[in-house]
Amino acid sequence: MTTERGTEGMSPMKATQATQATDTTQGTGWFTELADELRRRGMAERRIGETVTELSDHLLDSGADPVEEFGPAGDLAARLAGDGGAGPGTAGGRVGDGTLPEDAGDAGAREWRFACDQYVDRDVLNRQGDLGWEVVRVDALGRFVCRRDPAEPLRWEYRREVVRRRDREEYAAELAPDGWEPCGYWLYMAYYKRPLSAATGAAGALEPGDAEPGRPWYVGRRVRTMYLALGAMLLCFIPVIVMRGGPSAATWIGAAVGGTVGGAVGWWAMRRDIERGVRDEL
Amino acid sequence: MGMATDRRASWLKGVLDLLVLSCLTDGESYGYEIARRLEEAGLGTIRGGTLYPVLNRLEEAGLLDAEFRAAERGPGRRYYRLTEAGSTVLHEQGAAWNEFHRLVGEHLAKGLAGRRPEGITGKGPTA
Repeated sequence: MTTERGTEGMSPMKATQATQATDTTQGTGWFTELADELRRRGMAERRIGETVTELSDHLLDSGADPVEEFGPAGDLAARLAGDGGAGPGTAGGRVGDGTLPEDAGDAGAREWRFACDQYVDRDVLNRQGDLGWEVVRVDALGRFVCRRDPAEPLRWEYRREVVRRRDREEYAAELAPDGWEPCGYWLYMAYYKRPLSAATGAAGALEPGDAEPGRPWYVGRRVRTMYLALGAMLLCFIPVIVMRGGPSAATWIGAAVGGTVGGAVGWWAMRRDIERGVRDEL
Repeated sequence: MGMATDRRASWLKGVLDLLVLSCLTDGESYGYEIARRLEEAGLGTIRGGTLYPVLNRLEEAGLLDAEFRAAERGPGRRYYRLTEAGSTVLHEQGAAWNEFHRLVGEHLAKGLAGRRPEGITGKGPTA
């Protein structure tokens, strides 16, 4: 006699009975709190019932009290359900890939991605790095993928260099003795990170604790102005073209030539700014 | 003493999932029994708070199957069973662990060689 219809009505009662065997109010309270926390994190109701039942059974066998055996209910709920995870059998991106899953200690780490322009990147990185954010890689869209370990957050510093693809390894090897490690490449730029502890020791560590991620994007004044100018230009030209009955061949040719020349000049100017390390205000 | 326990706990943390998988090679089992077997093997007390998140992760990764069964006495248990994938991963990662263990042992042996262990004729560590 199993499962589907068995658990629904049965488990809460049996769970309560089970906990009454060990320690009445505290036991029940602990399991209630666990169930609430699991529910809050999106675990399916049936799965919650099974979990509570399973853990009550374990408690019966071990004879310990819930906090002693399982720790605080909230902590266990976090490790069982994750942030908004709903337990096995749901699409969590980590289901059934047949590899050993990572430790919950790592799963407690926060992840955050952000994009920023090349005038403010170093300042944003260093500011966030000082709050404990570590860049793990740069994704396909050019965003910085960061993580932060709440258990042992470190302060990180960052630097950016212009490095040709074929020189990447050599450059990284040159910087390595000073503790710099490449953390991402984007076009002709290379980003390096270093824990502040490499230079300052214990001062480079932060107090354990969580921190909220920052914004998804950071755009400095220059790039903002550029986008505004682009927007203004489009606002001027598009109505004119429409009023004249749509774009003609000449319009397209003009746009192509202008776009190519403008694009090339822009690319060159941007690269020059990057090489010079031009900075901007947010 | 506290430091020795902490170190041991952190070694265990690195290999607990493999140990849990290996408890299931000769058939299904449930949480408390798995913890008990590991304790009997001398690996220390595995608390429920440590064990169940590991079981969950292994199940989520498809390395274990679980079935809830109402018990004759008591509330009911989930019985865990090794899957094909779980068996494969256990063998691969178990071998990797053994190799790692061998390398650690060799390196430590070099470090310990030549130091007279207390109360023993200075023969150094035996193989």
